Amino acid sequence: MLHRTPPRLYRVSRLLRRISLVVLIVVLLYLASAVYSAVRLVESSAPSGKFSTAFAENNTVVIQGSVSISNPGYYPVNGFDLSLRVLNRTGTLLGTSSDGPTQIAAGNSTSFPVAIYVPVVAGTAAGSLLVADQPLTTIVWANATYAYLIPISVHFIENRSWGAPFDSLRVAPGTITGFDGSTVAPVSVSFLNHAPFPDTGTLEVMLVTASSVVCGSTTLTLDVPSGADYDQTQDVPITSGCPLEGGSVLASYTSSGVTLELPPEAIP
Amino acid sequence: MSATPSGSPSPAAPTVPPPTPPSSLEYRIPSLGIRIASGTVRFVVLVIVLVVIPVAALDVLHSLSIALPISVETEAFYGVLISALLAARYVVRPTRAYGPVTIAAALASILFLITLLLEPPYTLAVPQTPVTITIAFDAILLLLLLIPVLTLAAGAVTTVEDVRSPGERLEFDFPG
Repeated sequence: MLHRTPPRLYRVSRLLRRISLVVLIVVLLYLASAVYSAVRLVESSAPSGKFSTAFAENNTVVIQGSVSISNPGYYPVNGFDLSLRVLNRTGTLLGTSSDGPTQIAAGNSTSFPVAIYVPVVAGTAAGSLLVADQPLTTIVWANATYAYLIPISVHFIENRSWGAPFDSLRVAPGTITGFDGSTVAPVSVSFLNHAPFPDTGTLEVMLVTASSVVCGSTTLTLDVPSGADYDQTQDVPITSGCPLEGGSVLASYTSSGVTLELPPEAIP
Repeated sequence: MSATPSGSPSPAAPTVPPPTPPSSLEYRIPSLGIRIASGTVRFVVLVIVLVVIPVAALDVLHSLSIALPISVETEAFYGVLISALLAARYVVRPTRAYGPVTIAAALASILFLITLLLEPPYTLAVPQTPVTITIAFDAILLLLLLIPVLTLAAGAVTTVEDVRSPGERLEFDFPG
């Protein structure tokens, strides 16, 4: 049976319809596979959430951990970047961390190290982290392009309670007494270790005048487990005639070669 | 010119007339009643695919306190409109209205996709968690726009064809 060749316009119209059908099928297949892959990615990348805290150099506390992402799907995750911010209860920025952009190829896993160094210099917003429990806010952003075409941004805010390693620190000199020609001041040191790590090291206590002249000092050896409290009184030899009224008590904690200045306390 | 084995020329072969093209009336158009019945079935199927399932999905999201990427009313309106135009396109396929109705269906689809494109990126607050996810579907919507644009072009070509040569396409659309 012979057939007439379809007219040109009919062929053009038919071709356009067929192309649109092919595009529709391709898009539907793409969407189905992208959704399937995304579900597998989400199921495989449960947040690790294992973060640890430790003292670090330069008067800092480091909050560190890692975020692992497993991508068993069919499509890569491109331009993945991760940013974290830690704020204190007043909303002051304490520290940041960012990583990326990185590509996570299909079928691969990647772990992103996270390290937030919070300077805990006495007198700064973060200085109170050493001596006061407080809520901290962690803000996390992650941006990426999934399956070449889908930009995704994940954002969450998490509130955590911070346990101070020297919570309620009190360093107070008692009544100065003199005997055998020397003068001593009993200094009481007390605190609660609410940090998840032990306070192991030395605590140097200095009694200084209002004009920053050191009248006396002592060093205490600490080995306070996490969750334990510390309360001890020690006599500190005082330079004869050194006026402590209006002065202050300076304390510094040294552990594993790291020294942290604790907030000073005024002597009444 | 062929030759016999003996070398003498063969008698002239009878001329075979060229095949006559089939008549332009060699097609079979379903009756209007059948087309309306089939169109109705198509309409019902399209409404299920384009309206019932998406609206049910939106309802599930709403019941989970998840913000909707598009309102149920918008989705239902465009879903019914596009379904009706696609069903009507089938019914009027043998007529000159086929091209214009195809264009109308494509335009409705384009309008719907542009409405979605103008929406801000979809932000999903995951219930009972502090997690917020923002997803931009612009690239996919642009890709999807290709389909009605191509359909619109096809409808325009068919309209021109129907104006220039009415009925020309019927023997190919409805072969006998």
